[in-house]
Amino acid sequence: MKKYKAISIDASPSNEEGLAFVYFDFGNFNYLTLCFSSEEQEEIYIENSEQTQSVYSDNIEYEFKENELIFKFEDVIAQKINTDSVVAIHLNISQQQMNTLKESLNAIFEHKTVTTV
Amino acid sequence: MSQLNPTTVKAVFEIQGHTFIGVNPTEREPRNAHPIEGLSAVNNDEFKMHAEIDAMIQAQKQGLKGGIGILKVDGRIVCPYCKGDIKKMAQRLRLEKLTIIDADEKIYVFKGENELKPVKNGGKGWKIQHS
Repeated sequence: MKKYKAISIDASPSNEEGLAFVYFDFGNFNYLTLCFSSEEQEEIYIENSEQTQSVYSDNIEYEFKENELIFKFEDVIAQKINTDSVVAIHLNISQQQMNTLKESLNAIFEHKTVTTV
Repeated sequence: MSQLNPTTVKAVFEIQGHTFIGVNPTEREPRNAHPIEGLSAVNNDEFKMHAEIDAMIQAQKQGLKGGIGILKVDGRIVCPYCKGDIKKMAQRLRLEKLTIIDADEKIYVFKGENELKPVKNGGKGWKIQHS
């Protein structure tokens, strides 16, 4: 399991282009981001700190555990984005930010049958 | 057919007879940090910007404005973040027309100010494929 601490989070359930996204900034230009546009995509776009460390896939799940958000990737996906199959992100955010984060994750994952583990 | 190379992304932007080449961040030399106002989180600094923005921002730095722009991308299809950011860069360059030839050979065309606006402000999305 890879553990990160998010120093800031950017998220929206629908930005000006209709894109639902979450972006976790880990500092020094390291980040993890997921996004989905129901108009233009069939699968979730995932990128880990570099344009080439990216993939389109729905083989990803998430859960909130205490003050952490945990993503679980299929092994082949983890390999493509150069990370572990489980990524835990420590969150220290306000309730309002948490609400936006949850709304955004719901919007990203809502096209999937099963959204959380 | 373009080869989708998993390790390198290259974007070639043509405007007013000039050609600018952008690459993905880890291939970029020099790779300098400098904020880019108004773009999405993956493209809001020159250190991490994608190849497409790299190519277009070079044209902006040269002070080029107006006319027709052609952006050809190889190695990865244009990501969802760049779809919005490329339109913003085209607005900053005051392009009358922008044609994007994506890595999967799909072609997208944006004509005029209105089509480059954000989708929620009446702009055109990338769903419609041309030719």
